[in-house]
Amino acid sequence: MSKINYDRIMKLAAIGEQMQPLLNYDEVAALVNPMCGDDIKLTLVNDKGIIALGFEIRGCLLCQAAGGRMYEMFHGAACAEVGKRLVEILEMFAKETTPQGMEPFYAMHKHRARQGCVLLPFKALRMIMPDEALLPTPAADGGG
Amino acid sequence: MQRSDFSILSGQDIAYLDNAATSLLLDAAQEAMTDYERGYRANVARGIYPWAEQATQACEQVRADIAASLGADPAEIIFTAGASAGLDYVARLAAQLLGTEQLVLLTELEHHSNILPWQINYPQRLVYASCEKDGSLPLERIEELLEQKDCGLISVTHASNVTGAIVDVGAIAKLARARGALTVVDGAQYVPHSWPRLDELGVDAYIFSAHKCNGPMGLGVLWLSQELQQRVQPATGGGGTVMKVDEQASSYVPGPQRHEAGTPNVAGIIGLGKVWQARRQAVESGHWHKMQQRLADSIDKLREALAAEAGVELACAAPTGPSVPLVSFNLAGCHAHDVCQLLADRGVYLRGGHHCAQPLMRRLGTTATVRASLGPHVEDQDIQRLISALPAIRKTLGA
Repeated sequence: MSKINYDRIMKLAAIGEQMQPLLNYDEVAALVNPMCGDDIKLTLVNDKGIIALGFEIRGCLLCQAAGGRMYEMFHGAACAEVGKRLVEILEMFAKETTPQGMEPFYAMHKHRARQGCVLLPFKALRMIMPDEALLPTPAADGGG
Repeated sequence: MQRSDFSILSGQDIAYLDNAATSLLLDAAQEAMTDYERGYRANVARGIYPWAEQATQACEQVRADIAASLGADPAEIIFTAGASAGLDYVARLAAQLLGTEQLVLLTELEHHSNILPWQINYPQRLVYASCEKDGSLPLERIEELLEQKDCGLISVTHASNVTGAIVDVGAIAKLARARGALTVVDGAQYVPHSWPRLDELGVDAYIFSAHKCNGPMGLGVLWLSQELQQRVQPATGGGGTVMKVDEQASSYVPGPQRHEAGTPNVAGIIGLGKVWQARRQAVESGHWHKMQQRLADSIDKLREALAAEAGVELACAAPTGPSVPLVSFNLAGCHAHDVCQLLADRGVYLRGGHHCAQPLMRRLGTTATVRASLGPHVEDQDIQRLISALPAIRKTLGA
């Protein structure tokens, strides 16, 4: 029996389902989940941070919920913050961690086939974030 | 072949309804494979010690059994790594036969495995016979395309893995042959429930997989007519295929082994042999017909129950002609994967998604469906369990 909390997932999915791609945007990404053919079109306005974020997901509840959570987390966030948290999220299943904000998806650690549903919106965001935002923060002192 | 022949289900509170994707392994097949692995594991057609002799004999017996039951010659039965591998192999072989400008005709019913090998080998040379919105495939479309285009080959499924409809491949082969085109048939969904007569269909190549017939994974059967074999050289090189290898050219052994490069899936072939024995025994005892009739009745009942269930949308109308026992549907407003996840929580295992048939999904106006597909072990209680789970799932998903 899976331990997916459908009440929480559906509340987040409701946010994702209401979203629309922006008409005017700086960046756009389109991504397909090869497992199921679900897809996302993601747009954003970016100026040292995510000024505006819009997307359309044709996908399952988990994917919509992940989109909703992505919006809540990153709309209006600074690039550095987005970069740090995005890296953590993209690694969450591989590293068996649950980054802050991703608790509703904790149960998916045991459902490998559907982890791609959760990650799809975040992978799309990764595609259009500036690379420098995703680099690890350099150590203050290289030491020696 | 019945529920008690599949010990994977014993002690499991599961309704397994995903047979069109992968069927359950027959216990007798598992036992035969274990006997081989523990008793006489050796490669075939190479060694001269007893284990090798026994393994070779076992595999050749399976080849002969399959051939005999399908109206074929053993020399026409080629073991592959699966149906996908078989289709891919034929696609590469066909390059020796098709003109450089000739087209390949496919249909919108096809599984990706019967699209991608042709795309890879014949880029921009594919034409498709379209389906109706209900998933039916009018033969006139195929005839028109064969008339209007220079199609050197048609590759078509014998039964749709989404609609269940059986395609009249004999009629298609007749149309193709009249225009000098080859016919390749993907029998992956058909063979688990039927016995194609390959000497009567008039096709040139026929492919099916073991794991959809209650056999092991990683094994397929490619029937290649002797007529066609005489016109082609092997498309893959490797051990076991050759008579003599020289520096610049080689001569190949006669018979199917020339197309079986490298070490075959010996255990799998032996396991499939046991499945075939069980199937033939079922035919001889009259059980096969009863079982297929039972499955046909069960899928009709399931389709009727789904149609009567609130919020259920069948992906297509029931096939008007013969069909294999599967049905595709959706719960309105719910994604197929979400439905399948919740069904799995209730012990109902079936498949949701595009079923590797995205062109057909687009024709049906959807991206994914839930599919229930039956096998020899399925009983009424499994069907009932699926139906009774749906209202609660709709409620959970707020539909």
